[in-house]
Amino acid sequence: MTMSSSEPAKDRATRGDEAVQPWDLPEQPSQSRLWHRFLRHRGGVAGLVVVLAMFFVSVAAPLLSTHDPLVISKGNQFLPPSAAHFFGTDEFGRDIYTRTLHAGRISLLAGTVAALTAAILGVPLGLVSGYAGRGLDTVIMRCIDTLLAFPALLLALTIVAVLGPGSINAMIAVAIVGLPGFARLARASILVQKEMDFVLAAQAVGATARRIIFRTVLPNSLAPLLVQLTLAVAFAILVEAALSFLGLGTQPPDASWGAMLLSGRGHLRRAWWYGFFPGLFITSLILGLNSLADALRDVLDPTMANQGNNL
Amino acid sequence: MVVYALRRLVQTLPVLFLSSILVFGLVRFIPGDPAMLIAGPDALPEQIVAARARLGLDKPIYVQYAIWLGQVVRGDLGVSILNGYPVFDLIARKFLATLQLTAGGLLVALCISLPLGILASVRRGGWFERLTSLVVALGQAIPTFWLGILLVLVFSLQLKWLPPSGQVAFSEKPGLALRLMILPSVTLGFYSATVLTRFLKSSMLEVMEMDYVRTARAKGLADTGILTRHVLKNALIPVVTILGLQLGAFLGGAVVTESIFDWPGLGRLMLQAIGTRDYPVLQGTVLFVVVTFVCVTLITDLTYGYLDPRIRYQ
Repeated sequence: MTMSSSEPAKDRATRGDEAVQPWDLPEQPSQSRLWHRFLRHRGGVAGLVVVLAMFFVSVAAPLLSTHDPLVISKGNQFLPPSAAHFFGTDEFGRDIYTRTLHAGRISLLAGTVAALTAAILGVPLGLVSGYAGRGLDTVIMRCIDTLLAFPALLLALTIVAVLGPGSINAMIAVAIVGLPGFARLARASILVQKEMDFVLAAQAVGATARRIIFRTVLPNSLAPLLVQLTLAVAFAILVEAALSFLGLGTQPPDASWGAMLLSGRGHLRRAWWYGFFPGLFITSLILGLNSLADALRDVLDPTMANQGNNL
Repeated sequence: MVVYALRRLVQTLPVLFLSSILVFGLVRFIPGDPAMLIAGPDALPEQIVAARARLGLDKPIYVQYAIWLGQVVRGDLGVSILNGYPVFDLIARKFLATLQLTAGGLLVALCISLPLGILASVRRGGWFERLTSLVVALGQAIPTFWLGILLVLVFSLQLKWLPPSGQVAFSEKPGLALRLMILPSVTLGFYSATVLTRFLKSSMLEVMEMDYVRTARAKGLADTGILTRHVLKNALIPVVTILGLQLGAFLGGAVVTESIFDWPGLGRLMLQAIGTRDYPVLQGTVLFVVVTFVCVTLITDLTYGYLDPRIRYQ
């Protein structure tokens, strides 16, 4: 995280001191041109297909499932994958294929809501901090630094320990952990724009701070924020799954990928499929989201620094 | 350098101070009265009041914080509610196991990332670069806990090469201790290995574009000499920062890895403390990990500033 903030500064320093003038900027590409550029990005298209497929099977889980996700079926414990049970059955004879699809609903919902919450809270915080500067900036950034002083999973774990286990509390914890990333990105963006002519012009005609921050600066920061949001959804799904794997997220009998792997881990000797399929779903989804984020970065802003997901 | 070091140190102090407030405050938010826990389920009201006074819970919250902080800086983290052991001793005992695992993870990360990162930057555009990109993409997507499960499935249960879980001291059975370390170290280190690979590769490519590399080539130096003496040496400098950050990821990832492999380290201690609502242990462990992480970040920054003097003036 320290790196992502120092990188743009370094870039600016090494790129020389020629100021960017409005007439140097390339023309804003139209939406359809962006879309065409995206379609040429093979990794991005593959990522989008995987992510959409995952959203589809999760939303349509009740239609696609072959069994009831919660009904216990005695005598059907630990059946290997077959035509009747695509992914086999678990220790209660429940169908793992059905449960994996239903688990996707919880994981995707938790990941998306947590990432959006982090963005909605973090972006204004970073914008205000960067625009105000001085005292307020120092106070807000020290608080953000403090959150970053905790390893991500450790902070989420501690918050869930305080709030109590459960999906909602896990979501709150993941949102708090994701917040600093958005705040720092938004702040870095406004620090650059603050010196630019169009912001100075807005100030000169007497626009209020709120108007400048949200009407002038924010629309210009959307590209990096969209990339960050995609990475944040992936990150949130991973942290939620990790919390559930540690027994602190989604609670039984509800299915979530992390919780399924937790129970699957205890039966690896008898049923390899139990610990295999939920993990395959998480990994594919994260792989899809990461490639999508890479493609968005390439398409929307080719000059953006190459930064990764943090877990 | 001294000015830079002092400035970084001064920046670190408020973060440490705020973290201590956060750790203290978070644990105070936990529902339930510690005095009732200590006094027992069938304690009389007077006994609970007495326990509360003994724990200092009847004082204002900032006084409680000041007392707590005073004890912490003297190395007193309180005692476990569960078994009465001093928290500091519990942490000290478990920290060695986590440190051992971290060292293993670091070794795995370096053994994978150094060759992959260097070769992928040298052999640009070939199948090796594509393979590396694939490994990196997979490494960033695969959750630690699933990687651990897969490794156990393949190497312990299927091939029966390595034991699935547990830990023994190196002094007792060095061979078994080493074999027990392999799977957890790979699980912990793989993600960082891919992060480092990606970073080293782009750092190498950036340095290769530099004027001094072109000059070295124009002088007629051999490729290997340019690569080791000019490119790699400079490309490794920013990697130091990433390495420091990865140590933080190790401390977090250790919780998951330790729980998969029944590794008796700090992560397991924390999970047990959460499960048994042993708050002094939880508080102490979190504080210990955060302080360690902040110190590692500080040392990393100072090393970076030492290796690359430009950083000191930014």
